[in-house]
Amino acid sequence: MQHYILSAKLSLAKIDPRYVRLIIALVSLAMFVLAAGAPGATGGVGN
Amino acid sequence: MILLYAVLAGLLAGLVRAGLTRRSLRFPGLRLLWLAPAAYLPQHLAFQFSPARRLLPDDLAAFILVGTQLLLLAFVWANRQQPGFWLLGLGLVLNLLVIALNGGFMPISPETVARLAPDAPPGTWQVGERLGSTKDIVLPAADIRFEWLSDRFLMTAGTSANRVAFSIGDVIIALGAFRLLWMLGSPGPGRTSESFQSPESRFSLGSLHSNREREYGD
Repeated sequence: MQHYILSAKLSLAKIDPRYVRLIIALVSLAMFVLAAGAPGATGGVGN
Repeated sequence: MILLYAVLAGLLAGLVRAGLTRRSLRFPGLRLLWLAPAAYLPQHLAFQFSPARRLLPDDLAAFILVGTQLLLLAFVWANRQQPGFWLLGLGLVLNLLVIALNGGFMPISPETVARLAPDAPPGTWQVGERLGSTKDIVLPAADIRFEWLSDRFLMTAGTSANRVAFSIGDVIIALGAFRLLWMLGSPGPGRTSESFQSPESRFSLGSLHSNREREYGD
């Protein structure tokens, strides 16, 4: 079990934190535009 | 969905710009980033997640929409120095204004709904009621306050499921997102920016990752 935990830690350590922060920022921006915008689809009406 | 296209287009444009000018990727360090998911998740529950949206009364859904947009306004204010945020803020304020003045939902006229869903059976939408599970409420054009800010533009390309009505605020938000992501390929790291500066890591996010792997000896 400890071996797997260590492997997971090593795998995570390989990921550049700047890369992770960029992904988080992009996902957050996508969430922002979805929440700030109000484009109206049919919402199930007429589909 | 059309707003996500703007994010994707801006991301692609920023990557291409960085590649063409042989510059490193950079993204402005944003403050209070947690406000974006904090605003999105309640809206997702209220308008997208079927079990929750059926349980929520319209009054509460309207409260959630206005309240979460106020959270986003705080996020915009905290990052107002960043490129594109004045456009994001302007679009947000325009949407929030017309929503707040029309009962907490984005107004849409019956004429626009008829063009948006021409095949809708009679009775599936009514004036004065919300349009399905969307953020929109159907109101006569004459009764809409600031009608020019409402969902009055149509994108009808593709299938009927892809049709969408949008507001001038949505357009400005899309432009702001594009402008912000265009900065990915901008020259030189600023004081608040996070640069992906490294000889091998220009342009490609994949190369950034593989570069890191080499560093760790894989």
